[in-house]
Amino acid sequence: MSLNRRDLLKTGVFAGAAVALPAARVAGVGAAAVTRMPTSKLPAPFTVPFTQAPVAVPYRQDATTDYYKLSMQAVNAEILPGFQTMVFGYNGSVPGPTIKVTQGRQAVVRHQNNLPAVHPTLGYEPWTSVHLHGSASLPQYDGYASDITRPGEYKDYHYPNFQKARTLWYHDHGVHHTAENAYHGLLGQYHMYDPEERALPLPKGEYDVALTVGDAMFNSDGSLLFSLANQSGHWGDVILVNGKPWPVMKVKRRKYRFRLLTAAISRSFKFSLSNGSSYQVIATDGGLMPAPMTISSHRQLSGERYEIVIDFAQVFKGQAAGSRVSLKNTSPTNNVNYINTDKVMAFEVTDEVFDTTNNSVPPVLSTKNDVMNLVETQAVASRTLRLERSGGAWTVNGTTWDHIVKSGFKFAEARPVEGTIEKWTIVNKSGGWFHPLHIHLVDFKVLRRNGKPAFAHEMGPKDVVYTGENETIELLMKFDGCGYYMVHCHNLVHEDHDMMTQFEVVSPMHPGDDPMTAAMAKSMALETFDVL
Amino acid sequence: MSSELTAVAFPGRAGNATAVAGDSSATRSLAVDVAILMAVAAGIAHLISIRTHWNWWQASGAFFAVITVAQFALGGVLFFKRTSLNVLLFGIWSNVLVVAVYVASRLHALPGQPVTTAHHAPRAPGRSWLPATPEGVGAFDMFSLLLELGLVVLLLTLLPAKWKSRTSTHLMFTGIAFVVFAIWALSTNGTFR
Repeated sequence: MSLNRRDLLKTGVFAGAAVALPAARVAGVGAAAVTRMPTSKLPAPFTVPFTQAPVAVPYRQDATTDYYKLSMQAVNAEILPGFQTMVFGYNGSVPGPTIKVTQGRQAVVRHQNNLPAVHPTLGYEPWTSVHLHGSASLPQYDGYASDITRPGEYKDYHYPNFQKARTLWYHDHGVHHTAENAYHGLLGQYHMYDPEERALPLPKGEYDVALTVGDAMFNSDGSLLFSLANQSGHWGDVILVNGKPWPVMKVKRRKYRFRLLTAAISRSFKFSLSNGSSYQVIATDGGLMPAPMTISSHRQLSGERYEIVIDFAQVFKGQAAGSRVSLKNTSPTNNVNYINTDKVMAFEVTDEVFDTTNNSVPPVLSTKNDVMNLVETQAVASRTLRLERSGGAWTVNGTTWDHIVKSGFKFAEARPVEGTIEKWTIVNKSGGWFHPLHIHLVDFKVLRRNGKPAFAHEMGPKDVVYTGENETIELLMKFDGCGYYMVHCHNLVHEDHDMMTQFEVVSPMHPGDDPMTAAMAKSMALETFDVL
Repeated sequence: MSSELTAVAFPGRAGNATAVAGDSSATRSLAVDVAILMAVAAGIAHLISIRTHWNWWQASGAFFAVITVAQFALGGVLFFKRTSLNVLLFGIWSNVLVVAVYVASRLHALPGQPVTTAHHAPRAPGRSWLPATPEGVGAFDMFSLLLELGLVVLLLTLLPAKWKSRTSTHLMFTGIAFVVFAIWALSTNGTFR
């Protein structure tokens, strides 16, 4: 019983290959990183000028409605200086054009899918479904994940715009490919104004600034690097603000209002100013808070919007023009961090003259927000959603979107009655990951987090809640509307791996519209005969 | 199998057959005992996995059932002192086949493998799903793999010198084939998109 050296070596080739090759594939993330652009070739933080997305212009207007056309298309953009990166833009813009609407005027947006039939490197068909995040849209216009628009098709989305002023955002929600599509740029901000908000002396115009923060990783040729090898998420080594890496923004010595949207695929942030200055939070996902909250840092994850006011007169007090303060990210746990992911953007003060109107934050912002006036005793039902990894799948109460599909889209985790108030408890018993839980249709009030009051910055109407490690969060919400709506994790990799379910708001008066059939996408070939 | 092959017999647990020059019965007996344990352990490992694989993909569950039976049969045959060349070669190459399927399944989706989730949206029949992807590598399946590789090596040592050389050469080429397959799988991203 023995093997000579030669036989042993030959057998070793077999055994070594059998063990090493599968193990090497498991380390695929590392293999992918081999092609990653080296840090030395990335721009130094705070060297790229800050820009904002263009404002969308209505295609036409009538007495009640503004009409827009947005074409999703693949374009080359210079994200990293000196490199061309293929992205998916709305009308070629990444992020997409900011849509600005007024409460009471409806909007119809024709979303045309002019994307390639197959993604040139990732090899998937980039079908889309556009979700206006924060809008109480009808089910068929809510970006229901399986209600897809394939390349060569378009769909008209009707937005009611009856809610209170808020920062919304539109983004792709196509089943199984939301992460890739959003990562490639299919997202943009949508601002709604109302008389109450317009009457406040808050910063307006050029001092009301959209910040869309995300992260990305690039191949050495400048193309986006995306790997699904890790089903826990995708974390980039470059922080992007409005599509630019670690930009620097020139500011005047006055207050600015920032509509801060975190649109990263998986990353969560903890923001603060590098000199420790405080700032005020004036609005959350669903609009103005009852009163501003002064804080020096806050955590924020994918899908959340916070409107913050920074007073650069105070931040740069006693400092010369050209001084800088940066927006930092002291990362929450369970993110993958790289050398410069602790930096977001910089502010550089100038001595330019400025408009002194609308340069304050009143002590009371909104007393009319229905959600924030809800009380727990009004709840007619209590429900619990458990967010967990089960059997290798990301699940909500043990089910995935596959369960919904197999039910013919009829299964519902909950069936609240229209007009009623419910308390929902969100449970994450894991210490290994956090989940941004998004509930469509409704705004909710965060009652408690692990039995304690919500964080100061959360004390406004919300539609995404940071469900951190080992956290239990109690929410209160009222169900106005009718039909099927989604609930899902907004870590888009979790979402694409089916961490989605739905609820049905039931009306005793009428059935809700079917999100899959009530307004289907149409072929672009027929668009000529379908005037918007 | 040729008469040459079937005529060559090897000592079993008690060294009751023709001995190979240079080998001691006691050593051979220990090797066979260990081989029996490894075959049975591999059989148990596959038995445990039948249900989950059946639920995922019936062809996979059936394959695991066949492997379970084959491993137990191999252990039984070895236990009852049947250590002919045929038995040893069967033991080696049946385990090589299992290892090959394992390696293939970890590098690329297998033909006919179910898609990751069966989402068939009515408006896009057959298109709304994630393509099948290679299986993950876990501690339990790596344990089974090591058992099978150990079994192959042990059985190889029981072969006569000529067959050791011949078989180890074939194993080497099998390993090279794995590498070629891995390169191809890398080019396809492991899926049949």
